[in-house]
Amino acid sequence: MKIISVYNIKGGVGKTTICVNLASIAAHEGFRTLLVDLDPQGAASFYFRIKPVKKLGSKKFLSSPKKVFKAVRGSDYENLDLIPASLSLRNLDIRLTEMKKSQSQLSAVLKQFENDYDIIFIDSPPNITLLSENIFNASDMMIIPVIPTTLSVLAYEKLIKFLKEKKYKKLHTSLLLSMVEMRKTMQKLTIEKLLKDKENMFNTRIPYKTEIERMGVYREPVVVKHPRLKVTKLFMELWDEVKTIIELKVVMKKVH
Amino acid sequence: MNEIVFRIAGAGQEEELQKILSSRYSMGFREKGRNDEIYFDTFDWRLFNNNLILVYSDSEFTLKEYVNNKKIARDSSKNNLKKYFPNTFKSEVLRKSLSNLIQLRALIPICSCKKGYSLFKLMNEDQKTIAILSIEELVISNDLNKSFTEKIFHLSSIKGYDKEFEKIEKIIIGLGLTVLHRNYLAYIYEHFGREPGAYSAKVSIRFLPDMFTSEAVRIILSKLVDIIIECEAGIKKDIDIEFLHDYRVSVRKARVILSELKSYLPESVTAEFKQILIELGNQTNQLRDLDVYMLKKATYESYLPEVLKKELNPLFDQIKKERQSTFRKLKRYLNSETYKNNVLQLGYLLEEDYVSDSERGKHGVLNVSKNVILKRYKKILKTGRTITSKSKDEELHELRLDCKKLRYLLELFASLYEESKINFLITQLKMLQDNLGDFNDLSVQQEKMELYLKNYKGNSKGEINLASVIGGLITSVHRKQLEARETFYETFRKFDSKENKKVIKDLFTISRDGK
Repeated sequence: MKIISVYNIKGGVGKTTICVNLASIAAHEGFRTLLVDLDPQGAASFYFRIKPVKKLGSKKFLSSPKKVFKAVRGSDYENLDLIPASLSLRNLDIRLTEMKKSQSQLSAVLKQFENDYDIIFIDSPPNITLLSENIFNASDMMIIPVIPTTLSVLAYEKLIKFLKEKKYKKLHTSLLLSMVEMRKTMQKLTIEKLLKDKENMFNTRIPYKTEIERMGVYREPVVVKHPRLKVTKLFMELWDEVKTIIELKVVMKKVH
Repeated sequence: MNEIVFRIAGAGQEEELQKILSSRYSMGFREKGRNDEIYFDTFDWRLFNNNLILVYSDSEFTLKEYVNNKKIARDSSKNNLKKYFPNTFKSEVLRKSLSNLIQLRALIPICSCKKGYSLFKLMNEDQKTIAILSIEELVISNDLNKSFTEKIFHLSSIKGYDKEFEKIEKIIIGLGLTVLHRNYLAYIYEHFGREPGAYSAKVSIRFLPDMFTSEAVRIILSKLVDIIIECEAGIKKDIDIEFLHDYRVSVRKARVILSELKSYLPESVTAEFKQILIELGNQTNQLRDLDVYMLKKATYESYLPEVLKKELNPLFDQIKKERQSTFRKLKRYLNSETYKNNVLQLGYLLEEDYVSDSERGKHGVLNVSKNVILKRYKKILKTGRTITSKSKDEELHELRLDCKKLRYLLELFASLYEESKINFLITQLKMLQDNLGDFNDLSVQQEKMELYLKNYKGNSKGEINLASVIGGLITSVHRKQLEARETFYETFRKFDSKENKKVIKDLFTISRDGK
């Protein structure tokens, strides 16, 4: 089972869009997929028309496998399930600080799904807390969507520094250029700089597209609604890159 | 996942259901399609009896649990064969799941179901699908190509929306719609008058202690003849070798009953019945022998080093040829007028009411069975105790036959005795039988190979190789036979235990007041 999180401390960078569309593609390919919506905004859940779960509080989430299993909802798409966002999970941070092994609790919760799913996607909240550290700790791969502006890149670099200090053993991070508008010179220059610095970066870039914005209106992943659009192709290419990296990592581990 | 399968009796009910559902949910068309399924099992229902189904559908085989439809294994083999054995499948998981259960039986198609379905989604106020309703038109055909059509409704829940499912389930039940077994296989099977799990080579009849023995004998023999008749088709089609085995075991059991309880039926009846049974045994002897011999190939190969394994091929090719021609001969016999008349005659003999024929026949079956069983036990214990290392092999073979007779008696009359005790005795007897059976089997194999070698006239290098390989095999088999004989003494000692004797006395002694 592989855990892929989509994370950025900044909001509005396309996290949920990427998460939702990649999960849809993975499920379509036959991977048993679970999307965990840890963002209290609940956008991913909204896209899938799934209401938040009322009875799953943070205490039960961390200690009761049964309750977590019960919270899983089937989406309208085959192989794709969701644990919807819940306001009652807003206390997760605080609860985690009261626990031992406070950074690996999420990992333990997700491990319970080992036999049920091939891939878990985590839609992360846009902040940096103990919960975020749990997400870093649990993930095999973290996709960091970045809008190519100076401030965004700055925030990204701070994050990478933080992660390097923490030394997460299995975590592989990759920068994903998101909401890209090549007409804007500022963006073009920022991208050039990033390429020079040889960051871990996806080749695929997700452009700014109105179809993606409209996801909130028709409440369907764009890859499902518009299977033939270029942007769908791009998501599929991105998914191919993700698959390659994760498998690559596994091979490298064996060599050790 | 929750599922419910139900039937609607007529357009009126369907309209009502639509009305109620659309008042609470929106319904949308999802997809339409066809799905053909073929269900497989062994003739003796091994999958069904173990809560399993093997279905071929969508170009793959799926092994599922019967009650909850849970998938256990999948295999992508094509359905292009008339029968399947565990080794026929590609999937390791499927093979492992089936091997122990199926053993030598073949999986054959029991019935097929052609399904045309329309899927509708039931959605809540957010337009989220919370359940799927499938309207299915089925055409179900059995192995004799009889068919019937059926329209059913299949409601399944979406994960996490069980509460909504339960609400809809309540509606369905409230409307009085007929709910079918979730997996409608049993319903399908029953429709054809072929009850799942009904065929078994094991005969278990409930007897009342005071039942007339002649009546009890008549019932047992009828059941055995039924099994014999049921196996015919499978033998003729050469589906698997167990059909012939079940056939012959039933013939043997019938012969044991006739000889042990001879005086409870008219002599002429017993004589004629026995004659026919002997004929059936004789006609089927050779084929059974060859079937058993063919099974040895893998065993013998395992005794040989890698280099020599292929030397056995000419031998087994010859056996296979012989087997095929013997099979054809038996098939001709089974299709002959002679055979058909024989079987008819067995039926006629059992139709007569023999109760009025003799006073002896009216003896209660409980006491009669106690007598014959006890007598058999005494003989076995007496014979077994006299066997030493100087005794001839024949003595062990005789003992084996005595044990077999006893086993049949215990099983046929089991219902008259306390279950745990009779099962205990059968288990004890089985251990002795296994040892004697191994010894006998190894003796027969040795003899066969010695005979083969004796008549062997080969000069070429390949033929000399074969001869020496067989010589080597005979040595291996002989050694194992000696081991089996050595083990006999300890095995018999365990059989001759105080505990065993106590239970035997308990169950089979008739006290002075005749109870």
